[in-house]
Formats: sequence, structure tokens, C-alpha cells
Amino acid sequence: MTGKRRGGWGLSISTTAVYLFLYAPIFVLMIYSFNRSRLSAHWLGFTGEWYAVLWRDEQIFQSLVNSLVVAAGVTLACVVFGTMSALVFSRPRLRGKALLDGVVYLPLVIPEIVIAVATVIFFSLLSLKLSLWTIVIAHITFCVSYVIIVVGARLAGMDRSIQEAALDLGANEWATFFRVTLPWPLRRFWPPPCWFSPPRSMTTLLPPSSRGFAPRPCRLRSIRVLSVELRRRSMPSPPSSWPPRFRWFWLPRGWSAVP
Amino acid sequence: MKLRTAVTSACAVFLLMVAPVVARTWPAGGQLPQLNIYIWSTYLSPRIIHGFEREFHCKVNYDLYDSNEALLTKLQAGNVDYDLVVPSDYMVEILIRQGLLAPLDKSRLPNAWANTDPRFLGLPFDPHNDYSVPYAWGTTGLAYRADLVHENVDSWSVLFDPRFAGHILLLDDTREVFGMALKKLGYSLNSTDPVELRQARNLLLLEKPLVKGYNSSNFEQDLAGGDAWFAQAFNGNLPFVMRDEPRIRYVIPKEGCTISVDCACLPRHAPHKELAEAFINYFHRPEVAAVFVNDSGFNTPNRYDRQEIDPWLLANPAVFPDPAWLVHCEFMRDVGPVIALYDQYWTEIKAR
Amino acid sequence: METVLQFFRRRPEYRTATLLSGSLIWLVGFFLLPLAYLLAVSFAHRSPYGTIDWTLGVANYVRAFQPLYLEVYWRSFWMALITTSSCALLGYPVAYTLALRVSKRWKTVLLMLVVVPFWTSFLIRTYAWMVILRSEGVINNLLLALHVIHEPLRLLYTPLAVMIGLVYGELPFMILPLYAVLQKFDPTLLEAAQDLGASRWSTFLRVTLPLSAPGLVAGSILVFIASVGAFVTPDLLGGARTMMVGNLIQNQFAVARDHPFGSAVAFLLTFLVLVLVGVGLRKGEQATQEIL
Repeated sequence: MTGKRRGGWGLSISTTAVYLFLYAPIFVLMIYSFNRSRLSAHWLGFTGEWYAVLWRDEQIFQSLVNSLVVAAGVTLACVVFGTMSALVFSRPRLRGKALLDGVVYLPLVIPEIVIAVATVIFFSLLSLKLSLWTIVIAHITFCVSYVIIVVGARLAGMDRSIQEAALDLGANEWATFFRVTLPWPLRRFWPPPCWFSPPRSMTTLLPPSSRGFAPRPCRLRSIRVLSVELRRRSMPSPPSSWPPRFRWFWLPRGWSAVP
Repeated sequence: MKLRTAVTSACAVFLLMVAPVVARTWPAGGQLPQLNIYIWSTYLSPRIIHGFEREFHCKVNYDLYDSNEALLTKLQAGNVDYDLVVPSDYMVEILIRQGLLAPLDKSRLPNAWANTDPRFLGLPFDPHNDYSVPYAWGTTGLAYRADLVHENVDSWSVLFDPRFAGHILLLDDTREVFGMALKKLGYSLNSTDPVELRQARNLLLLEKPLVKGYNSSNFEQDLAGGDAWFAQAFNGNLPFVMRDEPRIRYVIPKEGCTISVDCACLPRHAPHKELAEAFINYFHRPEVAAVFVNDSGFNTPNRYDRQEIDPWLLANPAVFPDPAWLVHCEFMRDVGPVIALYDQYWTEIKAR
Repeated sequence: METVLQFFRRRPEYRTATLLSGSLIWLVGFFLLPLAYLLAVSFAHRSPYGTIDWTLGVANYVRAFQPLYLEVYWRSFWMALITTSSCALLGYPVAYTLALRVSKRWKTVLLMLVVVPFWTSFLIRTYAWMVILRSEGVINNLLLALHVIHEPLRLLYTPLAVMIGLVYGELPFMILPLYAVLQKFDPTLLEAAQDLGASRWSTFLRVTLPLSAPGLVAGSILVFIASVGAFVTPDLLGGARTMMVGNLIQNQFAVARDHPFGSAVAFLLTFLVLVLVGVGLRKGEQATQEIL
């Protein structure tokens, strides 16, 4: 890409500044994890003792396992259901598309706190025992939207004639799907669209204060530092050939406008 | 990269990361009886847990919560299989009223009745201790930096003193903040009188410009850093911080404050009632109570041997307040429907 | 296997239904139904002991429009608006640089770097900002050491701190959509503009900016929605001094145990957000149509 480079330093400086801004708390966290003092207010020297405490803490490791289990379960379910639905969504003509689109986009548009309170009182209405299963269920709910939109966008950009060619050459629908359709979005889609993160609102729904002798954040929340999560809706880096994924970008392709 | 290679390598990486974690936490006691506790995050000492597990040949699992309302929500949702929960006093009242607690078999708790300070038995929220046994108690007093405040602090009125504007922290807790204002005005902190509440609200509105912030979770950090000179404080946050930063002091103002006792209770459908009651009985042994005080920094209504308590804790007024200070302290009780008025006034204070 | 395929070949609508079933169960069963229940609860009343009294009425909605609460909504709206503008100002240069000024090799890496901070806990990062902003924190210590100031600046527990926290939390949602649009850019358009005599700035204003409008709209909508419902950041970084609509809702469900009123406020918030999204989308469409 050419273009005059004169004055390009302004852009570079502002970009670097933003990156520093993004990483400032991370660096502070890393440095203070070696602070001998319990208090973040004082710096009392370097020590690795907190990592030793962490290693001995069983509750934290149990929470980590819980997080991994949730992530694995949610990933599997979302990728399977989401891809299945994306196959439908990527079709150019579909009856009731507007309604389906609305339903799929809604979880991304409604504020997290509204989803959180609705889910909590719904589960209590059903007297559903709150456990890892309910966490998995709640996460799948909006993560699946995400997969549908993203994979659907990718599939929409696919040339249908390849699939037709495969069918003509004698493959049945299963073979076509697994060998032709499926690799198309997955190959260009790295990291997989399945690294989702539980939203913070699920666990910070109830305030940490009120009547606490020592109101510390619940352990299940505090292990997020260690778990391999991506924040919801955060995108892995798309290769440059990746189509944009939002509704209005599809307009030039002749799709009907849908909120 | 081929799809197959990508998927295989992703799975391999995932398994490599997960394996050591899972190996470390693989439940070893598969055949032992289980006890499931749902408790405040800093109330369990590993020594007590392991001691109980060894002696009673069982496995203790615990979940943590950080507010009474979280506990209430979980118990109301039903179908949770906790054997032991530790709600605060006013929450015990609410849980009893909603029928969420199981009655205790008092014959299985001899240590509790023998060793508990009688001042903490027969409290208004459970007059015959049918459902609850005191576990730990604490106060919500005033913490301050003695080096930054060069005067004697013994009253809530310092929080309303314009000289300290911008250096005051209050708790982010409707009942506690209103309780403090009501106490300063000389009323009960469980007041349901709209006139008294309105006066408290006006006082708090006048005070808001002086307040730096409302913080219930890490106000001790601000005290330690010198950002705040005064903080309305849960005593439980303070002992270890006060050890690291000796310039922080704690006092219960002369008007009185909230005294709070957390009680061990059994949820109505607890699957392992006998084991839970055994744990309560075990906890009330004097030597175990002493371990609890030393490990957690909380005071307990048990008669433990003071010789076994670490000296720095004995000298800390946040854990062992002067009994004369406790004269005007009150337990917090549920105010019923008037909580809606509290909430409305709280919103007014926060929204202005 | 073959029989399954034959069954679906004969009845294509069954195939569609089966494919959609997985997601729809979730979206309808665990998303729409809870929202519908929330809507129903918003017409109920709070019983004296905090449970739900099912005498229906619009009292909650009437109460939600009292001046006290209108102030809360207004403040949230303004905070979200300022956050969105700040994110746009900060995020645009980054997206532009990544899309148009960086070699292909670095694009992926730098984009990943934008996202990686979000792999850690939001709560922990917020506490880290408290460490940075407090009177004996990183910023003040640095400025004092350099003798730029003589007394610590009051940064924490102010609206500025809340703004910083919100912008920090939402910046990638602005950068990524903008990047997605900008990297589809045809660089020859820029060259053409400059060949025709336009200055760099003029090129930007008249060519780049309008063409990136859809990305700007998308990012702004995401950031606005997230900021308007924020409740953790105002509590921690703002010292809970100001009540925003997220805190109001949270209070109703946690402390006041007034689920019906909380649901009503939640629905008002949702309605506002949906209206704004609709408006934003229409503007986005218009912008795209004009260009094409």
C-alpha cells in the first residue's frame, strides 16, 4: 500500500500510545504479583511467594478446572449448533429470514446486565439447581449467536458451485459437508471461533458488599486470571480475506436490510 | 495448514495444558462421605478442614459467596445440596421466615451449648437457637490513620466534619450507611420510622460532598495508601492489613455501631445433616476455635483459651474490642417492607 | 446413513428445521423465554417480604419515570456517549494504521495484541486501574518523581476514572469493526484522490471517513450498549458515588429485592438500546447507500 508517508509519525505515536494504554494494567498486575506486601499501596520488595501460595491453593485449581470444563462444553455445543444453523443462515433465500436474524442478533444487542438478571430469575422460576450446568447453558445462549453470525458470514462468501460440483461428482451430502463445506470456514478461521468467555455480568450480578465481614470476590470469579478465555465478542485476528461480519456490511451483496 | 493438523495440534495443546491441572485436582476421596459447605470466602481455615477430614474420615467440599443476598438467591432457587451455610443474623431471620432452614438436633451439639458465650445465644432472630448456632462475630466501626488525623477519634461525627472533606470512605451498603447515620442521630439502626429515616437521608445528603467514595471491598487499601483518612469499616477486612500498616487504628464510636454474628445453619434439604452437625460441634471445641481466630482474624463467641491466640491479634481492637465500646451496639435485623424506603433514599443519595 | 439423507432430500423443510433446532432451542428457550418472563415480572409488584406479588399493573413503569430515576438514565446516556466518542477518537488511528499502514506480516500479530488483554479477568484489570490511579499509585508516583506536580492528583473515584475504565474496556469493540471495514479499502481510491490534488487531510475527510462509516456505526453501537449498562466500573473506579442505570438494576435485584421494579428498568434500558440500534443501523444503511 503506497500513499504519502509525510506526517505518518502522528499516526504511529497515537497507535503506540493506545497499545500502551491497553497493556498498562496488565504490566501493573504482573509487577505487583511480585510485591511482598499484601497491600497494593506499598511496595515492599520482590518475592515469588505468592506464586507458591497459588500453587498450594486447591480451591483455585478446582475453579480453574471448572472454568476449563465450562469452556470446553460451551465451545463444543456452540460450534456444533452454530455451524448447523449457519448453514441455514448462509442461504441466499430463506423464508422468515428477518425474524431469524432478529432472534440471532438480539443477544449481542441487549445489555449484559439485562440478560444476566433475566437468566437468574428464570432459573429460579424453574427451580433449576445452580451449578456448572446452568453456567454452561447460559453461556451457550449468546455464544451460539456469535458463531452463527461469524460462520454464516464466511459461508455466505463461499462459492456455491463448489458444493454443487462435489454433489455432481457423486459425493453424498455428508461427504460434501465434511470435506468441502466445513473446511472452508475453518481453514481461514484461526484461532477457532470457539474461544468464548463467560461474561463478567454472570458472576458480578450480585454486589460484593453488604454485610460482609471480609467481602472478597468469590473464588470462582477470581480464577479468571488463570483461565484461557477470550472476552465475549472479542475477535481473533481475521486474515485479510475475511469478510466483515456485521449486518450492514452485507448490504452491498444485495441482502435485505434487517435490524 | 491442513485442517487435520490444525485440529490435532489444537487438541494436543489443550490436553497438555489441562492434564497437569486435572491430575492435581483429581478427587482422591471418591469413597468418603462428603460434606458440602457454602460459606463466606475467608471463614474457612485449611487447618480446620483437614483436621475435620482426618478425624471424621470424610471429604469437605466448599463453595464461597460474598454477600448474604447471593446466599438467599441460591437457597431460594432450591435444589442446591449444601449441608451447611453461614448466613448473617438478619439473613437467618429471613431464611427462617421463608422456611429454608432445617431445625437442628440440639443433642448432637454439646460443644456449642457448653462453649458459646451466652451473650450470643438466644438472639432475637432465633430466640431458642432452633435453627442456628453462632459461628463468628464482628463489628462495623471506624478505621482511621492515626498519623494523618491528629486528634482523638471516638464518634461518628468525624465523618461529617468538613475539615476531612475528600478523605472519607463509607461502605457501599444501604443498611450499614443508614445504620451509621441513624446511630449518630441517636436512633436505632433498625428503625422503620419514616421520620427518622428521612432525617438520616438528609444528613447523608449533606455529607455526600465530603465523601470520597463508597467502597465495601477494598477500603483498607485506600487507608493503607493514605488516600483515605477515615473509613467506615467491616472489622474483618482489617486485622492483617493493620499488622502490615500499624498506623491504621480501629474504634467503635460512642454512639454505637452494628454488631453482627454469622451463624451456622443447615438448609432444609441438606443431604448430610449428621456430618454437618458434627462439623458444627467440632468447630466449637476450644482449641479449634482458637485456630479459627488465628487463621482468619475473626472473633468467635466460643470460649477458647486466650493463651492460644496470637498476641498481635489479642492486642488488635478490630478483633478484640474493648467491651465498654459494645454497650450501644445493635444487631442488624430485617426491616421488612421498609427496605423499599431505605432503597429509595439510597438511590436519592447516590443519584444526586 | 443413506436413509437419513433420503428422508431429508424428500423433505427439505425438515432439514432446515433440524439444522436450526440446536441453536433455536437455546435462543428461544434460554434467551427469549427468560426475557419474556422478565417482561411479565415487570408488571407485577413486590410483596412485603421481597417475593413477587402477581397483581399486574403498570406502577413500576410509572415509577421508573420519576425525576429521580430520569436523572440516573440521563447520566448513563451521557457517560455512554462520551465513552463512545472517546473510543472512536482513540480507536480510529489504531484501526487505520493496522489496516492501511502496516505490512501483512504484522497485521495479524498486532490485531491479536489488541485482543489479548481481554483474556484476563475484567475485575482484575479494573482493580489494576485502581492501583494505577490512586494517590500513591503509578501515575502519581511518576509525576511526583519527575516533579511535574507537587501534590498527588485526585484521579481515582472521579467520573474521569469511570470514563477511563469504560473506554479501556470497550476499545477493542471499536477497533475491530473499524479494522474490518478499512482493510477492505481500495487503496487506489486514495491515490486517485491525491492525484486529483486533494490534501492528505481532505482525502481523509472526504474519502476515507465516509467509506468507513459502517464500521464506525457498528463499533459505536457495540460500545454504547456496553457502556450504558455498565455497573462494575462506576462502582469500583467511581467509588460508587454516582448511580448509573446498571447499578440501579443491580440494586433492585440484590439489596432491595424488588424484582418487578428492577425488571421494568431493565426493559426500559433494553427498549432504549433497541431504538438506538435501529436508528444507528438506518444511518449506517443511508451512509452506505449514499456511497454506492
